Amino acid sequence: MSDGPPAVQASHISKRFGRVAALHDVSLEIEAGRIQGLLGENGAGKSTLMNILFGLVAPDAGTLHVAGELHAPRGPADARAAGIGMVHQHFMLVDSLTVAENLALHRIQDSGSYDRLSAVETARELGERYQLPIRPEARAGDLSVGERQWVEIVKALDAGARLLILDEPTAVLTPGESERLFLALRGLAEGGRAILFISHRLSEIFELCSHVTVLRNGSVQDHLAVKETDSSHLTRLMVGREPEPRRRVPALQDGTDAMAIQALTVARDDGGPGVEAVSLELRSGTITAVAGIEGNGQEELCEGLAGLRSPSSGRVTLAGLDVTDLSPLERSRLGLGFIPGDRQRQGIAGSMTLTENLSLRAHRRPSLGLGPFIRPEALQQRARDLMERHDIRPGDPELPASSLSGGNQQKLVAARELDEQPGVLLALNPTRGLDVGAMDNLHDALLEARSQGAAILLVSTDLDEVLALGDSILVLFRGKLSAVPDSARSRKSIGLMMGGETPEESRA
Amino acid sequence: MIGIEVAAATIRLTVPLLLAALGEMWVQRAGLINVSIEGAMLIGAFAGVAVSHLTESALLGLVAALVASTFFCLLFGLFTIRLRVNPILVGTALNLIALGLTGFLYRSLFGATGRTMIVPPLRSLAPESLRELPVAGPLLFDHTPLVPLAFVLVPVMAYILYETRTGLMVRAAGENPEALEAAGLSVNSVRFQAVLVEGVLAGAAGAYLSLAHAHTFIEGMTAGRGFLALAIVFSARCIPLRVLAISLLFGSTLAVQFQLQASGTSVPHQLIHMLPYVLTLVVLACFGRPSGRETWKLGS
Amino acid sequence: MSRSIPRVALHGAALAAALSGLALLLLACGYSPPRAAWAFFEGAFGDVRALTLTLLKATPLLWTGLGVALAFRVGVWNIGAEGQFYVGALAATWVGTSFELGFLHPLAAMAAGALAGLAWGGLAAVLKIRFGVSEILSTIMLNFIAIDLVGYVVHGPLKEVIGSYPRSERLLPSARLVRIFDGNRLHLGVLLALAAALLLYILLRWTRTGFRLRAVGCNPEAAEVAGISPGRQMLLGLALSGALAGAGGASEVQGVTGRLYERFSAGYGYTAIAVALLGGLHPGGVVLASLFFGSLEAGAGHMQRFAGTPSVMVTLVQGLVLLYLLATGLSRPVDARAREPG
Repeated sequence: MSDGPPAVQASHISKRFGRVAALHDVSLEIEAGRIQGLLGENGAGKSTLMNILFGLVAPDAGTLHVAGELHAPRGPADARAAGIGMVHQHFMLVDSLTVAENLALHRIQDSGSYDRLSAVETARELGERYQLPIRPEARAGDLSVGERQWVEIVKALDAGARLLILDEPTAVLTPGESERLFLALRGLAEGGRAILFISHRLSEIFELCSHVTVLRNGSVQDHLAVKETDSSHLTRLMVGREPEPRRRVPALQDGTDAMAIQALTVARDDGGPGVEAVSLELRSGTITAVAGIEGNGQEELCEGLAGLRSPSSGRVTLAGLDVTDLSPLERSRLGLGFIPGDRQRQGIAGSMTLTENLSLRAHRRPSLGLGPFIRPEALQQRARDLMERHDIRPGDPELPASSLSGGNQQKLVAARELDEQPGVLLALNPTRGLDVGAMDNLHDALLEARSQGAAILLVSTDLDEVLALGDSILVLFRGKLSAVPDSARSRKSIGLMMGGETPEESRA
Repeated sequence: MIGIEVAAATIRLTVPLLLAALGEMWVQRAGLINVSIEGAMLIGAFAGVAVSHLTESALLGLVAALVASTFFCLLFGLFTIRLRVNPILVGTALNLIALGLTGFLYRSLFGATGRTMIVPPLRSLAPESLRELPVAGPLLFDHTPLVPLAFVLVPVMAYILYETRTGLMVRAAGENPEALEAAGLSVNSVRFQAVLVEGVLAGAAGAYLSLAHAHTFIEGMTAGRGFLALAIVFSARCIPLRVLAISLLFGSTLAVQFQLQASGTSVPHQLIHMLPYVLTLVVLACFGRPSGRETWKLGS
Repeated sequence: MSRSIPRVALHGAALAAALSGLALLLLACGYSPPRAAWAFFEGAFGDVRALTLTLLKATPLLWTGLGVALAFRVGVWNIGAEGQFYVGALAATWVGTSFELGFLHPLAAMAAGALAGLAWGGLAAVLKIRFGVSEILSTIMLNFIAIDLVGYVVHGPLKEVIGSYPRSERLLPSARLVRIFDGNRLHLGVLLALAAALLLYILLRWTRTGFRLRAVGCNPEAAEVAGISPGRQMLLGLALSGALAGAGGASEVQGVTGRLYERFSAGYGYTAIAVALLGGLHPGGVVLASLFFGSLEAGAGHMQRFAGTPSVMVTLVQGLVLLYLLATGLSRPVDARAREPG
């Protein structure tokens, strides 16, 4: 497009973390006026590369040039000064401040004075200039995820960004919001800005980007023009092999009611409604999948069912018994298992050993101890067996759980829950952040549990996962559940439902 | 006249709590908890008395109190901000150091020789005619300058917190430090500044106790007032006006406690002495977040 | 902190800085540092008497240190060992002066002390779990309340009948903890404290309950998901922690002082935090750490008598030791285990 030097040029970048080579000899050029895709699995090195561009991480080797000039940022401030703006996956907004105050915080270094009224005025002007719909006087904590993203983009542009880096921006957006974002990004590119769009979703790369760079295991696999490639080629580059299409195994037909949820209402932490009057039946031998954009009540639903939050109204029965007021332990004794959404926070105790983590439930079993005492060697033997069966690596049961990779940590949580042979298994975003191999493992484990008669509630923000595994599918939107009729079982109509439209409308 | 006496005593006893609580509020807004505010007050109280005893100037004593306490709080900042050590543990260590150091110096420099510490008191700046006014005199004018200062600081700090760039940075540092870093600002420097502010205010609180209130130094004379300030900030959830309100509540309890002790009631004075501590627990329990789910997570 | 500095150098520098700071302080206040140091070592290790004193001073620190270590292992910030120590001593004094229970008397008084400490710790736990009151603040407040409570009883209900001092009657001889050797002040409480350390080790390492306590200390949310109630474990941990500190108060009254008086504790409950951390929150480590701090107490007393340095200096030294542990990262694994508040 342009004949000058590329907006950003990264040459032969390498970075190691301890023994792990996060990036190896990575080169990348991003031209002004172009939307460049960066495609790769979790752990491929996308985030490291982005952090190097933004000055959060220093490379071990290699150079960066911005508009032809050498760029060696010592921190985000340097990167910003050089015209690199980043929209983080975890938004950097202060919840109790208004949008205007958040924007003012960002320009505080440049502007000598500050007052609240002019900050609101400035925010309004910025929104108009970049044609992004922000509400200056709303508290950041009250914004929807989509709205927060607008603020982040305005923030980056306001800082004079010539290159805008977006890290998996659509993960938290409804399809409608995504389209709106793409529209805005195309406008920005036409205005001469360079955009680096990081994703692991092929469909988005094809929809938005003109060029794409594929990373695998820290190395560049190829630079391609999107027009000249296809999705199976890209997948092979990204994963290293052709993914096998998963065969759908039909669910048990004669499943019994394992768990019944009647008009359950669970509040959020801040007191607002999490899920409202949700009713659902889980049948044994079936996977009930719940799709939805993050923050629509997924956590409240799962934690309400697991007994971690007390519902404000409604009833939950498990194996025919009313468990609404029972503790998590009592529920698990009745056969309830739970793979929580945030494995670091809720799944594992990082400083405890693998044996101990695998024993969090099982340490109560009479066979693994004697009266009030545990038998450490029995726990360790059991841990060894489980680790072998579930392929948890490295295989030393006395390592701290924090030393495992994310995929192995998730296997550990799944192994612990499945070993209790639960009649009902709740799984919240069980494959988030996992690479394809680990994802397959986890899916196999869920299907295995299903074939043994477990009733599984799979709550996921990953629509592909929901479509692949769900025997029946529902959508959670603003705390309300609605069933997806078989006739509407497609990406498009479920996507619309995730944005709050009814499937009837979507077909009309 | 008892009413006016209690009211005047309330003001006198509220001031050190309020000064310390405002300092602690600032630090907590910036994302730290400083348990050693108790020690900082004690250091301030001692430095104030020692220097004003040596120089025979109350003003120099006050300055010394502010400097010593600020230095002490910077030590807290060094350990928690620079070395990233757990603030509760650092605070506990610093409290021991403050107690030991002031006790050691006091006994070495003054106690051993049996000299009494005579300290020129901090005085009211108001003319005598105003101070002698009935009702208004003891309530409004017969106070050291630290008293009006403490009360004026409430709206001033509220303004800074909510309306200025400094306030914006402090709130961001406490609530979402990554956001502050992402804006190219240094969380560490914002927190160090907050610790400085607390140092000055805790020093003023300590100086008030020794120079304006007791006119001498007694070992361990803060007697948990720093912890009370901590409790005030917790239950006020760092909101300036609530800090004022709860400080007044605690100050009035202390005033009633002294009034009861002075009135020669038959209730043993140790039991009366418990009052503010019991009140703290009650206030915390009432203003502590309502029990619902996972209360074990709350309040720490 | 820079990782490139060798650890030995770091420790050496920190130690040298602390020691020379102390020496300067002594010099500035007109004392002779070498003389003070000599008096200190003589007082802590000089002869059987000195070693006995070190052991005696270590005992209350061991009880309270074990209590604090247990609470920290469960992730609860018990700053209240001081208050629990006080109420333990109070309860033991009451049982020890008011009843005649024969050979069960020492045990009954000890149990009363432990129960009182248990209740005091449990109260903080209930305030935390039911009302969301931070245990950091509630335990500190309960310390002040306990100190006032003891002040009240030694002026009032438990005040000695003859004599005008604010102190309790002497404990009945039947309630005293027996001495281990003739002509030596070491008492049964020393052995009981060591037994408590062993029991605590077994509890944490070998029992289902201890496993749950540790799990909650490591990650309460993960523990809760796996069916372990953090609230219940924290209640148990804080109550047991209080019981240990309370037993320490009882042991001190029954074994050493024989009566209760105002300001009974020399800040044992606060020193206990440093003891627990120095001991790595491990019962065996706490035993060694309590001996170290006990020698500080014993040496400081001797120093006051023979070098004239105020014994309050020991508080300063304890604070410096704790700060030193924190600064050099010696307590880093501990720090991670005792979770960050909030």
